[in-house]
Amino acid sequence: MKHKTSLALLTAAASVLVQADDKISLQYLSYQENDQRIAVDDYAISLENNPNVDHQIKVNIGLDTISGASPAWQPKVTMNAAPQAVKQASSSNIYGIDSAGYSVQNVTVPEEERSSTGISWLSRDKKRHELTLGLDYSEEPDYISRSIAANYLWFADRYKNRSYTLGASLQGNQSLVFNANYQTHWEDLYASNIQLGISQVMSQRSSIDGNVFVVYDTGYLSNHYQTILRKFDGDNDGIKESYLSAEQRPEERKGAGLAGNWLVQWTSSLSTHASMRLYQDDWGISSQTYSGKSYINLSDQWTLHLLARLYQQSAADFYKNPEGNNPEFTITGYGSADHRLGKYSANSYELGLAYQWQNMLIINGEAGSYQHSNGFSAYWLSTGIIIKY
Amino acid sequence: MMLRLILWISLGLLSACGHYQNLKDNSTRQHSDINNENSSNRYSQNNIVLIASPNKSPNKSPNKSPRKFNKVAQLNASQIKASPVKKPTIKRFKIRPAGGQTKSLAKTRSEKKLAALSRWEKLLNIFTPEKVKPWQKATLAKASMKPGGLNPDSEKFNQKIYSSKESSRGGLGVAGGGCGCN
Repeated sequence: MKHKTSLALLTAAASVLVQADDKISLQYLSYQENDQRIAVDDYAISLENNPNVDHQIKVNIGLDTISGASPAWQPKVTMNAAPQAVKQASSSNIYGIDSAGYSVQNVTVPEEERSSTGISWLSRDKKRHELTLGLDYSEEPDYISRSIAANYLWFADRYKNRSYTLGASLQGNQSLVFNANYQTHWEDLYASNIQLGISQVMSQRSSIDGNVFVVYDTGYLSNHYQTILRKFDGDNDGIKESYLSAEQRPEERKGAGLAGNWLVQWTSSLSTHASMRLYQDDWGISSQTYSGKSYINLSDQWTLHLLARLYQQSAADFYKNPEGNNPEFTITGYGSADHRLGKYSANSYELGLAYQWQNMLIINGEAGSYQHSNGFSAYWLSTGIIIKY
Repeated sequence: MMLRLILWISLGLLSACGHYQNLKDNSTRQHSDINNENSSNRYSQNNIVLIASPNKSPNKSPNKSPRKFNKVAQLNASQIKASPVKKPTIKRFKIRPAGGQTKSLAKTRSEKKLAALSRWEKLLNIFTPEKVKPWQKATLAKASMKPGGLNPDSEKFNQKIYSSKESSRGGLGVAGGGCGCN
């Protein structure tokens, strides 16, 4: 009994010692893609408040602006109306026909601003099990997203070295899309995610965690800015013509995967995070992600971090490379020429530096680069300040 | 609690008594086997005599009565001297390679074996969970040892970029709203 009391007191003392600080964080990101494609300026403010050891509240507010262009099939000269028979035969919107042919061009996207806000509330019970509830909302001129998330973490042993988590989230999104006549209307899409995880403290300096997850998306999952070419004999002359059409993706997607992290502090000045994720869905996309991050304490104030991330994915069953030999689709069926659904590998590197003053103030700066094997590349710079109080 | 303590002490005493009895029995059995030349008992007559009186050779007094050897048990601790133990000799096979260097094969093999074992143990230790007490988790509580790292908001920026350019999702927690980046 006495032993139990001592243990409870020590645990409580340790809990108080490791109680998170209240803090406010201001961050800025400048992101630019190659070929003057998409550019993003992103501002984020987050507040974290711990009224006591049993509760934590986080509030996030974000504002980003997006501008630039996105590649898609476009007519080379001018587009003429497609015959009605083609429109009726096609399973997706037919925009028209250009006898001169088509080429992939950067299509300017209207400059948009997106604002987002989110709140999460964490509550701990007497056994220190944690329940987290979250609500998020974001809005931009052609997209609205609302989401709700819940996560429960429970400890499996009295020293709290092993814990399990079960979480679920549901997003209800709306996208403003246009039809063949460029008349707009709202389409709904839903995205859900369920995750079961385990976390294990391995030693005083290392821990691992892993999870299995399933995702399920339904609704309008196509991107109405993306176009494809469909072949069809519209004038019954025995020769198939190419028509410019909207891409069409399945209205349902089921995916699953597993992920894991291994965190180790090798020395007092070197910590590493190793992560991996495997993913597979019924669109035919499978991916592997491996990343390693290290934190190097240069001094009591300065911390350097390095990130290397490798990603590889296979193509969706209904994807055709627009630069390939046979980029056209049949008049019906799913089809997409979006590079993001293609087969490629990607690597990303980031270098960051943080200055910490008196455990009250952190000033951070990062520079990152991101390359796809299909020619896409991007880089970013970010900076911010975190004030603890 | 007290009852458990008494029980443990009693068990300890009983065990000690049992051990003493075993020693006594062994001693008696050894003495009774003295005249048995074919005895395979490793506590042989020779050894006992060596312990009792290293100067006297058992071969010189083969007809002494067993009673005299009973004195072994009656000797004081100061009178008992350890028998000189011959150190085992390790034969080292020396290989002379073409280069003219001399190498001990036995040593190299054992060293390699030990090194391999040590590496294996180290690897196992990494993946064997320890019982870490709550007050030993100061390192694990550091920001650099949390999945989000020093700056979780910066990590969110990165995830936003990846999710807008890649076609897989999940495995990174369930919280967060959709940005419509796709």
